[in-house]
Amino acid sequence: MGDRGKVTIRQIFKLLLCLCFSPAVRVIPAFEAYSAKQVGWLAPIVAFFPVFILILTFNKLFIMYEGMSYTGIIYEILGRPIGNILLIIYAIGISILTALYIRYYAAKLSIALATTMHMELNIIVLLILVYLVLRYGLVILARMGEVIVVIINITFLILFILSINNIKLDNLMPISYRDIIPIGKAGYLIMGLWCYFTLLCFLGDRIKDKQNLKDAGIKYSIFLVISTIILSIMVIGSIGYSVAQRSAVPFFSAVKNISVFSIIERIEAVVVTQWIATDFILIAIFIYILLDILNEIFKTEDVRYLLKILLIFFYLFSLYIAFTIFEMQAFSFKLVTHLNLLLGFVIPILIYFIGSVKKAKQQ
Amino acid sequence: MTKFIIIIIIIYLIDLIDLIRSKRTKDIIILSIFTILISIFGVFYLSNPYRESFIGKVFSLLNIEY
Repeated sequence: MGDRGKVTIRQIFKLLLCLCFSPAVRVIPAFEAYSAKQVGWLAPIVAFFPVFILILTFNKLFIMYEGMSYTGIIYEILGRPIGNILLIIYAIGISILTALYIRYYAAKLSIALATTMHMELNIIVLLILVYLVLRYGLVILARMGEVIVVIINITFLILFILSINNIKLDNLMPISYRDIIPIGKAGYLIMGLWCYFTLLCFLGDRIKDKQNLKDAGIKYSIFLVISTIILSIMVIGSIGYSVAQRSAVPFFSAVKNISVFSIIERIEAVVVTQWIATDFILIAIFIYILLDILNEIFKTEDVRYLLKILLIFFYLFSLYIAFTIFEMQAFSFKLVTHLNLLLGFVIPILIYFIGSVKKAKQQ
Repeated sequence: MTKFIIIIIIIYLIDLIDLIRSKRTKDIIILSIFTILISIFGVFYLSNPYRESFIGKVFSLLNIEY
């Protein structure tokens, strides 16, 4: 887009943690409980290996095509016409995801907190905030992400410690070799969310220290795996897989059960704060990436003038996308995960192979 | 519907004036196309907000039951 401020690779991974948090607390425990029942909490370990492959792929791509973003790499390898088609597909995919997450955000607020408030008003407030922040560009967004990720990690750790009393080992056991395939299925679904790393690579030319991608990537993905395992243990361990797979927001149900000596109770408002903050970052960053892609497709110097009109589109599209949260959950389970994996995992790896073959032929 | 059209026109004019001042013809065309497409989508949705949802349409197109 117009602003050319640069961010560090650490900030990019902190943004990734923010992007993964909101869908993680909403769907990961439900995914795991549905696919792998009581052993679902082991699924993040399976999802780590594809993420590791993805990080290595982008590390190689950024070394091969120095100073370029993922968009530039696509054009360099596939050429402008095919590259444009692929970028339009990415733009459509990101638009659907953005509308879906805006609607999830509004629905969650209506379920958890503002039950009497109009959903449309929740969406308008969010989109105005997104507009105000996006006018200042990526650097401000990355700094906000840095602050928010520290807050959500500390509060998440406190919530986990407070819920230890409610975690029953019976809900997390037994584990047998027969669980390998269900764990793999749950891992596949988690991987669909962690593929958002690819979307952040569209900002590749705005990253200062891409040479640290591999080291930082391994460090942050291990952190992501550990925190997701903790989240899963907390949810499946305290409410059981049967409730977790049926609940619209299982993490919220697990936090509702927290009671310390009957003094600290009803602290689910903390979860709502975390959701709002991370949903805001997720939606803002997706719209920023979408504008960045449109900028490359239209080859203009700045497309920020499209921001206001796009926000109106997302307001309407988020209302049109679904009637109920169950419809959105079915969509996430049955289509969005596969779409994420295709755009976020399969295509980058294919591009890497095509790029490697091209480079080898040139030499 | 009227409110929506008025809002769209105001936003379009605000951005358009900036682009005309900086003489960015290509951007004016892009903005106009986007505004027209989003206005059509807005009129389509607002004319009947209770029509089948996007997800419902995708599922029925792909024959997926939920």
